[in-house]
Amino acid sequence: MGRSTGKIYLSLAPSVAAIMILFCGPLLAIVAASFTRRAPNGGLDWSEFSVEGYVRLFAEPDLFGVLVPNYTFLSAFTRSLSLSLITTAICLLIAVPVAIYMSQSSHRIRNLLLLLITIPFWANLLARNYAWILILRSDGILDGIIRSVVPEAPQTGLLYTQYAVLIGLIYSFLPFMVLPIYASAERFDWRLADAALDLGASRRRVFVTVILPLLLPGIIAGSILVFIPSMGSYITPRLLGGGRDFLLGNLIAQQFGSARNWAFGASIAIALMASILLALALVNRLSQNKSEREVKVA
Amino acid sequence: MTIRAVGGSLSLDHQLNDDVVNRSVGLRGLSVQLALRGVCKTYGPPASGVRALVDVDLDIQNGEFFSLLGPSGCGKTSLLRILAGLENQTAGTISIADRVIDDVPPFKRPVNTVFQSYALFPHFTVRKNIAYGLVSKKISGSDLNNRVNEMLALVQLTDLSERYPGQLSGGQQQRVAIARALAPEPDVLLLDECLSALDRQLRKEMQSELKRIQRSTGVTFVFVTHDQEEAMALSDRMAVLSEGRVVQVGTPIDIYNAPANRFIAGFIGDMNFIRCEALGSRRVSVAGQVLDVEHKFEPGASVVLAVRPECLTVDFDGSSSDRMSAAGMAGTIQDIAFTGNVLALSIELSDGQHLRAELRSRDVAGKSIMPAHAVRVGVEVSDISIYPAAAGV
Amino acid sequence: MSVSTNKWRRITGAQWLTLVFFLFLYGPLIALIGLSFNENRSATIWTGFSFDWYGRLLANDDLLAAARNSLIVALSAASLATLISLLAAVVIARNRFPGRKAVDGLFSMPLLVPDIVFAIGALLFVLTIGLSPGLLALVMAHTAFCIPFANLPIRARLQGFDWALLDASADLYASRGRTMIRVLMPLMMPGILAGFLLAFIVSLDDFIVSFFVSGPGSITVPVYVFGLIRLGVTPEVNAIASAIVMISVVMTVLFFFVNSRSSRKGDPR
Repeated sequence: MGRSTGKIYLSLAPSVAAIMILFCGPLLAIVAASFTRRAPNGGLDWSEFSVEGYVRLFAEPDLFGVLVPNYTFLSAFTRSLSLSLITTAICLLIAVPVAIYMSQSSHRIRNLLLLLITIPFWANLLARNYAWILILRSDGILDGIIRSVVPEAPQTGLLYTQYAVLIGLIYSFLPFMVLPIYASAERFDWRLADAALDLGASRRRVFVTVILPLLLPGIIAGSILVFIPSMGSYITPRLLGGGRDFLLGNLIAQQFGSARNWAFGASIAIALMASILLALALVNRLSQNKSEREVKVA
Repeated sequence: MTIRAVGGSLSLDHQLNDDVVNRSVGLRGLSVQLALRGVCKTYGPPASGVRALVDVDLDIQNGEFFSLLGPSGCGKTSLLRILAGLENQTAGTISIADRVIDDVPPFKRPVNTVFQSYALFPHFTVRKNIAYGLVSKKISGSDLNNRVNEMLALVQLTDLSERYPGQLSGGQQQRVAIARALAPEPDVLLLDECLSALDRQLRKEMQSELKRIQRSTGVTFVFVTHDQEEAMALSDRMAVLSEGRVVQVGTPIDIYNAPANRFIAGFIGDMNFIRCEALGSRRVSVAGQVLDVEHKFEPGASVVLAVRPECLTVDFDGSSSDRMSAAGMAGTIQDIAFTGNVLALSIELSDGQHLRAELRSRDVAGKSIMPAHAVRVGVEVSDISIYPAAAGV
Repeated sequence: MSVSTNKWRRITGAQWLTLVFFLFLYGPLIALIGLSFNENRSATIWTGFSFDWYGRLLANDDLLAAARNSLIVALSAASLATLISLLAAVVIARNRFPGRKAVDGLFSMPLLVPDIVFAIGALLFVLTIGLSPGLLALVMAHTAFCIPFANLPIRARLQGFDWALLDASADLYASRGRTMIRVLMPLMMPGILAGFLLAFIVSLDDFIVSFFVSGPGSITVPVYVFGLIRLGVTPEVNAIASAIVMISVVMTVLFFFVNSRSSRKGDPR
């Protein structure tokens, strides 16, 4: 109170400056790097402005310097997008009932379940994905369990397939979906559902028209928190998808590693960020439209 | 309800009560403790900002229980924060016992506050909360202990001194807040709407508790509230604020009986406002009755007549209607509400306006009172105030 | 809120789904930790109980050096991130000013950027400002992505903070410094501690940023483990991964404890 705006900005300056340098600095560095070209020995040639990295997203020059379509980025992008969407959808299907069930439990059980979800949430991602190698690999734990029931069963051979990557992504990010939806469900006033039921709505209708809309903030937050890291995932496809670098994250890392084409890598990163911002804007727009409609109905 | 009854009965011996109040203040000496001169507060740029306080002049006397009363947004909380030093006035001066304190920061002013939320430190026990101001003033050892114990005894919380605020009821927290603010022996204690969070029953208890504490310590209390009943029950004197200005200062009885303007007439207690025509410079006509009043105005002007519900008399007896026609407004009973000691009637006058009349139950015992009954409503000229008509009444 | 007793409110089969959900969450962790005590050289066939592999970890100098790096980075980054958040959070929570939302948003922005993108950005940035990958670069990068996590509990703690407490302290003759030490800091402490812990966990867990920004002598534990996994599934890796998971579990339980204590204690009503 009573502090002038100037003083407020002054007291915020150190923190804001720190974020600007430590976080925005790297983002700007990517933008800058994306407009350079590959130096002959790898690394970056800062001397001239170039959109070569961006061109390479869709086309590359062949031996004779003629641009021919390049599907490396597009196919990785399509795979990343579809895997991320499927991951988000499956997480959503699991998380909604689980979150509602948790919110309806007694206080003690709720706190316990919350702790139980939080533990793997913060457990090391690398270690958790590694655990799935042990399970999915040939003659691994899964095969062992299946053989103990059906001795003659063939190996599942799941490791190093897209299914393994999907399982890994769901496993990695599922808690991100449950926690925000749980937060919404916990605030939900169940008497609203009682009222809808009392007004003659069927259970299905109550769920679709009353419960789901009120869980929407949690669902949106959870979907964002699953979708973004899935789109940029590196460890899961690297460990469970095998040697093939077939998602965006791996493609980016490859350009900074063995391929040594940083400008292209930076361009892919920018494309990834752009697609994420686009998705966020879309979600924002949809949820805004929705709330406007709700106001009109009211 | 209480206040109305009190106000009504006091109006009978108006003179006497004024004497009593003056004498009781006089006992402590009529020295001015807190003086405000031309205090202004503007939020935002000086020319275009929000004017929260405009030229406030007040003299609050030593040992007085003084209330700042007004609807929300009237500036009373700004005034309190300025007195506490938590905000600075834009213009004007404030002095305590003739010492100007405008530039004294809050932690050096001999003024303590009981905050609306109590603002008890949740991580300290009751004892540590009460000791906080004393420790700030570098009081320690047995002096500190004695003073804290004295305060605990004053608010009757000696048994709970090792509890944390979170373990106390609302009323107990309130007492701790008072004890904590009184412990450093301030010259003035500011209380910010501090009863508003309590339920009705507890509030009544705390009102008398506050009064007792104030009497026994003799500290000047400045009490901010939007609740006129509370202000009237507690205050020696009060100031009514509206839109950043002090509109009237006086004893509750004075303000109740002679509201300075229509805003106060409507804000303090219940009031009937009746539109009527001025026939002559001192004569009005309402619902068929002609009244000669003490006020003077332009003939033909439209004016509003204000009268308290308990000042109306109602004649239920149809047979005497002839006699009453010269001294009563014709009307019909619309609704009856019996609340024990009072019978409240809503009456529609013959010109369509509505009135509320409150009769003492025992005065109307045995009479048959029914809705749709025709009645005559009488009023004493001395009970009437007249204000110019504004839009909307 | 209200605990439902109404049968119809339950989703059919929700408790079974919840059970499966928790089996799914914990099965792999339990399998991993279980196998880390396997005496057999082959990583997935159980033959008997043994602490051997853990013993070997303690003799592994590379791992211990990586652990040292991890600790240095996590401690520094968590401290810096907490300090940066704390300085701003109090100002943001207490005041209304133009641009408040934007500044507030700045603190959660790192959540919207995938790790891999920030990782290459950090590498490019570090090289651009003339630094070489190493501990300092690691601390800088980790501080950046830890900020939103340090900020979360601190902000939660400030939400609904009764600012009148500071007024009350000043009103009771306490100087600014005394108010800070006796009132603001003690009440903020659980949030600060929780924020620090969260940032610490996040920093310890990070692989991808460290992978790009660490230099030859400054690799962290996850980067070291990643190198081992690339070479194949071995009992050593089982043991290291299990140890990391168990440390995370302890830290998380600690965080949970601090956090739930902070929400229980210290509320005036």
